[in-house]
Amino acid sequence: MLEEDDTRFRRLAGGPRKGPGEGCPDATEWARLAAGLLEGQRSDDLLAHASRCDACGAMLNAVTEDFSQEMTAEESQVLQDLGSVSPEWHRRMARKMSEASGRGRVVQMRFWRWVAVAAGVILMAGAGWWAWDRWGADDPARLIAKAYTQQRPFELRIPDAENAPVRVQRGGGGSVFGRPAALSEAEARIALELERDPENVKWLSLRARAELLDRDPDAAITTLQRALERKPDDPDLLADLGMAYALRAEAQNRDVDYARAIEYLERSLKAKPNAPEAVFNRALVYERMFLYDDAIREWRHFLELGAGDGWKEEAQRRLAELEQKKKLGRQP
Amino acid sequence: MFHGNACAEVVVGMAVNPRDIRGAYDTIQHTCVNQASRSSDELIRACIEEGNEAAWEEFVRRFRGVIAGTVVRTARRFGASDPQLIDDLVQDTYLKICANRCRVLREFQPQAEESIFGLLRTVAFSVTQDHFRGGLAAKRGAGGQEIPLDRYTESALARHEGLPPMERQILLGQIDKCLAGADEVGAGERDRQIFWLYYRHGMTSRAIAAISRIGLTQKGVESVIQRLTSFVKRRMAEGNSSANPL
Repeated sequence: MLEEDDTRFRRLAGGPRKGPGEGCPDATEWARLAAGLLEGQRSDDLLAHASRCDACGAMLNAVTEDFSQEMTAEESQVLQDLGSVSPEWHRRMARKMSEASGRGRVVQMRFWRWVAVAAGVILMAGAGWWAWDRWGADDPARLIAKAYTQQRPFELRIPDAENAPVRVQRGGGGSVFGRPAALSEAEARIALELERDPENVKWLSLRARAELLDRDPDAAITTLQRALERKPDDPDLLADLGMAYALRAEAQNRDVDYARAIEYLERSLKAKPNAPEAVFNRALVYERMFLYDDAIREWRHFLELGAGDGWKEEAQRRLAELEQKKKLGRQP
Repeated sequence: MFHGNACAEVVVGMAVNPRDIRGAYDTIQHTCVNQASRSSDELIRACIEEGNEAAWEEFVRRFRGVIAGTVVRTARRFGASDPQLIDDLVQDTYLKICANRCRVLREFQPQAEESIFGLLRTVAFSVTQDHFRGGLAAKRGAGGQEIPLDRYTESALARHEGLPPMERQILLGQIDKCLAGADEVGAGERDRQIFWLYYRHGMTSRAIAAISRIGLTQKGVESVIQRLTSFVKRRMAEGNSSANPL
């Protein structure tokens, strides 16, 4: 029987597999894990995912084998037969790289060119100031904040948004025409910017915020983790990731995500102790975790920060409710 | 090692004033002679900061093996081995490395001396994957035929004979249930992951140990697998005997 088990266990790895799903990490992520370029929580998350996902497990298997095995004699021969083995190829490639990296040639600039450049810079600065002023209204961060206020989709708070009552959406995702136009406009701009520069942290962070408003915390978590790899310990990214975990905990009844939310919010607040959005969100998460005392302390801290009218009233109401419930010995 | 031709070209390219040629020649000759003796870290810094052809030539020479090796292996999993295509992908990898003023290298924070090899493997892998997923194939006019990513992953499964899907699902569920109680033999989440990587995905203990985050040697991985396999078998046997008391 035990020997039979052995054979059956080994046959688990065979057979047809489904392709990666929507939530599966990109192929390059597996390469980075196999290459030892990822550390910390991200690599733990990937390992946990790979161990459960047939498509990603197979991907990790292939890439780890390819990255870790010594070259065979036959492979070495293939490499020796390539055109790229010749010194001439190396030189041509080096020239291209030198040019492509933007450091190929040192060019002396004549005086009048310096003057022209200086004049250009001054003009650009003036135009930039004017454009900045005009562009503010179309800034995707502001558009997202506006969309949030127009149809506040959850209790957690995003940066720079005005207070508004939460609107509970019934049923599925709803019609796209029911969404705030500001959100669609922001998403279009973010997509365009990310097409130009896919790893830009600012646009990744805004994309994640839009994903949160679209009620897709899984996607937001993935996006924020990608951004954090580029800019680890950024307090704003950490605060948003904490919010994303809290939303996922809420949407999917995953209590463990509340603990993660607290962890990321704490890391963020360590760097920016008085960030009102992060303090507000941490108070809410404590409430969800039934940690009354911590929630009460956090709401008081929030109120000391001098919040704007709507947020102040909401915090006061929540604090009063919590104190009342605590007095009565009930859970919120 | 002396890169005569490359240095002469650099001199012509950089020295604007003819009177400076002699001085530039001396400086650059000195630089060329020393490229090969630089550590990888120093060489990369030289490529980013100085960016002369001599530094890049040493970079190309030094890392061609790891880049071309990764391209060859990744392409093979997609069923491709045309030397011209391989050379093109190797070239694309180098160009990707120095794109955006060498952003890949500038933002890289090495954990150890050999980390650069991991970075270059990842870039070569990514370039090759992109090619076979259609983007670059269309650009080169190679028929624009998109090969699904599954072909890559399937190449890792070829040597395993599978269970019928329903039986596999049931067995996965049974094992999962057993593993949930593996705390009693001191097994943590990482140990369970090792078990699944080994049996569910057919990874070898050597490959599992090669993932640095696992943090175990091959022997360590084998020991975890052995311990958990015995535990699961025992649990399953107990389950069977209690289900069939006669």
